[in-house]
Amino acid sequence: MTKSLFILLACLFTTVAHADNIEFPDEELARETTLPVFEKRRVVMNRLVETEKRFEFGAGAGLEMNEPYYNDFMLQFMGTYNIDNVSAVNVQALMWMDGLSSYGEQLKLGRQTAPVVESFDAMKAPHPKWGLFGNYEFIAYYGKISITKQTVMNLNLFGIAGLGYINMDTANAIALNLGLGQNFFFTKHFGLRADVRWLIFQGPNATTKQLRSVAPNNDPSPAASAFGNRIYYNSQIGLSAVFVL
Amino acid sequence: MKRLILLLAVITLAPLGAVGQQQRPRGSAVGTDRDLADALMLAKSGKYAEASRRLFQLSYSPRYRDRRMQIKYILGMTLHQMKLNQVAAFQFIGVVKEGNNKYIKQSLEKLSLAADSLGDDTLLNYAISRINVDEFPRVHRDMLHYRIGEYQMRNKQYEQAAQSFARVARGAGTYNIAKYQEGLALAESNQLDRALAAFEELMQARSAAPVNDKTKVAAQMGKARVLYQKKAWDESLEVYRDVPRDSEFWHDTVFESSWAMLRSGRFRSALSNFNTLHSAFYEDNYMPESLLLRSIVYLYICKYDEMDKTLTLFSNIYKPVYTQIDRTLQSSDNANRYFNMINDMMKMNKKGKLDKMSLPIPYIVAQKIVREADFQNSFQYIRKLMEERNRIKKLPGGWGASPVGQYSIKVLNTRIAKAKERAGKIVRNHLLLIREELVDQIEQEGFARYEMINGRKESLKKRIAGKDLPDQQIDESNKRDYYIQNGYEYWPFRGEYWLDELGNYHYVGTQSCN
Repeated sequence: MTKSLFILLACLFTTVAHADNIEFPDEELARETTLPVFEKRRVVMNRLVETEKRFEFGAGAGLEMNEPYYNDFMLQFMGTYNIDNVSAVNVQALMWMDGLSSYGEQLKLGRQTAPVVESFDAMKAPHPKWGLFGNYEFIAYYGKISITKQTVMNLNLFGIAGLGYINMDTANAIALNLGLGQNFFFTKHFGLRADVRWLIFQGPNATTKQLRSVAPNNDPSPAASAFGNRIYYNSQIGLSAVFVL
Repeated sequence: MKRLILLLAVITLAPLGAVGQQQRPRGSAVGTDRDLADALMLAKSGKYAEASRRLFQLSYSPRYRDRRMQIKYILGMTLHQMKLNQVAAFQFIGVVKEGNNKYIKQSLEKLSLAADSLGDDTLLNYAISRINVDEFPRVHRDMLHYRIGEYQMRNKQYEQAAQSFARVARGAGTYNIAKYQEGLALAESNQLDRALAAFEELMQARSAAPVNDKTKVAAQMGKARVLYQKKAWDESLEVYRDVPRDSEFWHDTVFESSWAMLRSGRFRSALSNFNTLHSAFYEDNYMPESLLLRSIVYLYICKYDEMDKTLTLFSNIYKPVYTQIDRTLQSSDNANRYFNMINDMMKMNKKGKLDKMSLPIPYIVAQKIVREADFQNSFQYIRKLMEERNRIKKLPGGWGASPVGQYSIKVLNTRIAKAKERAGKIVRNHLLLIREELVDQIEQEGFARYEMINGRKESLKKRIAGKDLPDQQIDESNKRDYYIQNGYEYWPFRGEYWLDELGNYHYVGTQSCN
């Protein structure tokens, strides 16, 4: 066939194609949902966002979804080392913001008029201040998405599972950390990481003690051991900026 | 089971026939007849291993000089039952070579069956050249027609080959492959309408099979190629498009249909195909011609920068390939060394420990050779011989250490060495051919560069002469919006290739000729 290349060239060179409007004949457009067959099946080649054997760092904020008394907001920091395109190890630090939620503030004030509600100052009970977690991250999927049809973002979907330490000032807890999330990469090195996490740990139950803070019944902060314990199932959502190094 | 019954019939009748031809044995010979009778009884009762031991000894005994061919034939049958096809084939060859005995016809028949199982061309050629088809048992006749057709194809007797393939009956196990080969043989002999009919007949025969059925798709490919040969570009493209994406042949259609597109002046469509073909998914494929073809299409639409990139890519990949092949060919002409090069590459590749840069034969070339039918035939033959040798070593009762076992291993070792040498020669011949083609293609690349420079010069001349030229080529704008009318979505290409996008890449540039 190669020899005929230049014979063809000689024959056809004077034929000039004019096509200002690009038309895609229907028969040349996608008709099949099946995939080509290769000896080694690889879904993507020349990945735009290469994570294998690379570090990722991220910082952002999170929100407790089911926290009644304390400030819902938290800061989050994380570092990930991608062993390959499927597995990674991840270290995550959470810093809960100080203070009470609006509901917690109302409880703190109580109600002096009928019907009287005694004040309840949850700040006097031990509650999470910061936490540090080590997770295994399983990256189930790498793909791309176009929302506006003008730009394309790469994404990956992951699940995490790990253990961690939660500091509550006068108390500590070991927590189980489970989560699901997705990275949206805007460039090869920068993206957003959105995730949902469940922290499961045993800690002091604030409601097992009277924690009045309005005179004349201003209770002192009890020792952590004075509280009864309960298991917490804290749901959190988080959003971080992620940098792939 | 049929074989066994046949064997029993032979065993039962053979001694009688032999005895009938000779004078009655004298007193001293009675004991020896009993030896043979015992061996036959063992074979009759399915104790092939023990029977073969005794028959082998008897075949060398001077007492049985007159019955040697009969014993060898039965020994061959026994070994065939033990799935030792190569060793069995040697017994049958012995009978045929000796000539002048009544077991020649049966031996040839069994030899061709053993050779068919082994897929060895040499044995097949030997058997086929001596067989009278009409005397061959009807039940195996289709196989014989097919093998004869193959033999004729190898000798470029295309018309005779087509006739032989056409004689394979529709219900036969080799019908599909024979019909395909018939189409090929007819296409080779330039009987294009008959070739088309053969491929269509095969497609019809496989109409109930799944859409990606290998035989059905092979027939489609054959039809598309014949239509291309007939210069019916559009019809050829239509058939190529019908090849399903999940068929192993689909990759070939991407390249082959590009030729048809080029010949029918569909430059954009051809370039769309090249986006798939030159994606990272095909980085281990040897296809210099496709790069040259792509550069020619760019020349037609005056995309000199793109053409330059394509030709540079060709030079960067294939000039070092040429140098390496040349160096390897000059370093040795030992066939075994060439076989070992490929075999080592295949082993390392299987283990996933292959360093592609340290191979004596460039990886993409080695991959191409490995896929070649002649190498595959030889390689499969070697594999079968090795399996047969392993089977012998695993036989119980020390069969492998017995005289017949040692003889068998010796035969197999010799055959393996010869087959490796033959496979090595095939590798070397392919390398010689590829080197020759590359010389031609590198020369073509030079011509293409000349045309590119010439085109640029003409373009500049027109610009200097003040001819109206667009200020910039439309492709230079990277921020274009697209509206695809058909309801499809446009996804800009950003450098990564996705399996589900292969075949759906579209060239959206326009021609830049003035």
